[in-house]
Amino acid sequence: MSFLMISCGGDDDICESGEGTPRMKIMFKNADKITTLDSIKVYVDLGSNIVDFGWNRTVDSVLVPLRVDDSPFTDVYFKTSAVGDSSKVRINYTTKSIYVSPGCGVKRNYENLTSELLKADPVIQLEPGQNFIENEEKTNLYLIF
Amino acid sequence: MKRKLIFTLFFSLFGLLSFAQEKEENTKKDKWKYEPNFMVGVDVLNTGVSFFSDRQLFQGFISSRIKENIHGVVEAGFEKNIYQKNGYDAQANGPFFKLGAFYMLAKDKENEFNGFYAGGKIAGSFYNQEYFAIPIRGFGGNSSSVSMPASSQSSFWLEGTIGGRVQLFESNFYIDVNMQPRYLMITSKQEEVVPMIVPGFGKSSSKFNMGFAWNIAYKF
Repeated sequence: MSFLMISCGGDDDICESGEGTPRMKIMFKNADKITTLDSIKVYVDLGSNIVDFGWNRTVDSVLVPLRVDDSPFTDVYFKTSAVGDSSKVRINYTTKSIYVSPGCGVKRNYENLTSELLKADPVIQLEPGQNFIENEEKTNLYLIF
Repeated sequence: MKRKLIFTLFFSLFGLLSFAQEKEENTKKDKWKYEPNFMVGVDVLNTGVSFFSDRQLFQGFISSRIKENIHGVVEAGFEKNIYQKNGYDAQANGPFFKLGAFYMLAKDKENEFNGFYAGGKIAGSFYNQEYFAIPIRGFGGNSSSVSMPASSQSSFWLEGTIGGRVQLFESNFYIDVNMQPRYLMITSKQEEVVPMIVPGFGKSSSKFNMGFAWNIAYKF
């Protein structure tokens, strides 16, 4: 009888990738033309701490996670060389919460995206793209170098 | 947790001993006709475990032998439970009801209420829930949560019953032990959120669940 006592369960639901909060897609431009970068490092201020998402080599775009708390903005830092300075970009938005599944919980979508370049060098200028984030397909922002 | 396990083990051993007392003897078979008969049981295992656990489950049943091998059963109970896992913080409490029948697959010739049975039930739960936190997952350890106000919900499920019943010595008392595989058919949702716990059903993030009852019953 003892085996009957073993409760069946396994409610550790897994959240499959792609169902969570989408990241912001950022591309690069050089003299009005889309370009690839040899290297770019992204840091994101997630409120509690600044997270280093590491170096990306020879890329045409980066996916940057935004804060999922109630903050109306996320500060993102970009660096293109180890010794150089970093640029600070503030991304403002409104958020919308959407229930996904028991495992994933709730995801955030972002609307009314606006970005301001708080500190230039190496980024010279910003150019807005699609001003909402529902998935990771469309470019939301261009960094002009 | 350890105390809870010991408590469970004690009951499973006790159950083994009780089943071991079953005897097989041949007696004559009579033509069956219904006479009012009732058995009332209380799930003592889950009631006991409630003292050591966040899950408080009280349940009981009334069954009656309707035809030769078929017994009807009505169950009722109350459960209060919390769910604090994977970024969730929720609680639910409320009564639940079950209605069904089971078939005596093998029974003792001497006492036809002794035996092994299988059957099915339909069940419903009408409960209050409150979600203090539903996780929002982000990248790089970036997380947050949203909450929902308290609300009333209801869920309905199908439940199988596989168990055994044995008379305690020469008394009118019986031990009734059964497993309850469950399948959640339909549930109301608050803001589309799938409930993580449903009183009487248990953890409900997946549609299948397994319940267990260890009853002391009295036959009238």
